[in-house]
Amino acid sequence: MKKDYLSYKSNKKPFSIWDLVVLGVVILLVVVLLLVLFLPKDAPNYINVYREGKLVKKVKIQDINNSIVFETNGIRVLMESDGVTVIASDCDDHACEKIGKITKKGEAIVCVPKTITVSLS
Amino acid sequence: MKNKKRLAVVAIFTALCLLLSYLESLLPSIFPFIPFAKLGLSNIVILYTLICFGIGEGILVMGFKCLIMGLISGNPFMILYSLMGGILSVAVEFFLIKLGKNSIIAISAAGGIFHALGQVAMASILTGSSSPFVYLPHLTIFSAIAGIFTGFLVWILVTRIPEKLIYSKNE
Repeated sequence: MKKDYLSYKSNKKPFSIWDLVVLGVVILLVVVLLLVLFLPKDAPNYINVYREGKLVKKVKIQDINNSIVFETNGIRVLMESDGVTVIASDCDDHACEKIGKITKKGEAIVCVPKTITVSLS
Repeated sequence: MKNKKRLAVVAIFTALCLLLSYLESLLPSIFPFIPFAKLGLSNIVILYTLICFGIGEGILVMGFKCLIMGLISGNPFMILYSLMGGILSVAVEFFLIKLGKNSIIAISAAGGIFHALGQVAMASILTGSSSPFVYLPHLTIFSAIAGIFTGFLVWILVTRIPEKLIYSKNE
């Protein structure tokens, strides 16, 4: 609205002292998120593949000798003893392939167009 | 007259948004480990619309942009995704504008973070798992930086574009 516009127009400074509040909240949020998500860094025990929220494949990592290739809904997953990679996808953006290999407990590869999630637990 | 102006504003700013989104989609992704992270250049137009014209125009520009970009990209999931992020970021940006305490740059950064939050929440709903939240720490940091960059551009636009180009005399 014009009132808001004019107040920004008349104020020539690019920052305001109140921005520190926003900055503080952001830093707090990131620290909390990092603590919650990445504090437990044990070696993973299982590779889980979900499709539309349902578990379709669960592999115990200790049981993998060389590697296992699992395919569901156009997504090819390479399971190895040290981690898991999405190696092929027939969707358009191939974002899940670019993530690379995940190796830690709690990490995940998410492919939204295919509703596939690969996670380590 | 007012409705005609609103129509023109929404149409022109939506077109600008689409142009920026399209140009951005031609660029390679900035960080390979977060391939879906984008600068969000269209946020420049949406935030500028919010500041100069208000929430109604802002929501319309954002909504049309999400819908049309989703159709162009041929990926219907994109629409749900960007709508969720867009609604959250527009709401937060409008709230902070009305609060009137923060600078445009901080408002843009906050909007960027809530956009990321909305998209992660939508990804979580669509995949039926909480795993997408794993990306949130990197995405929050990246969105804040991207928001600061786009917010700086909005600040330049607001302070440099003459008032008479935006409002007629009797407004």
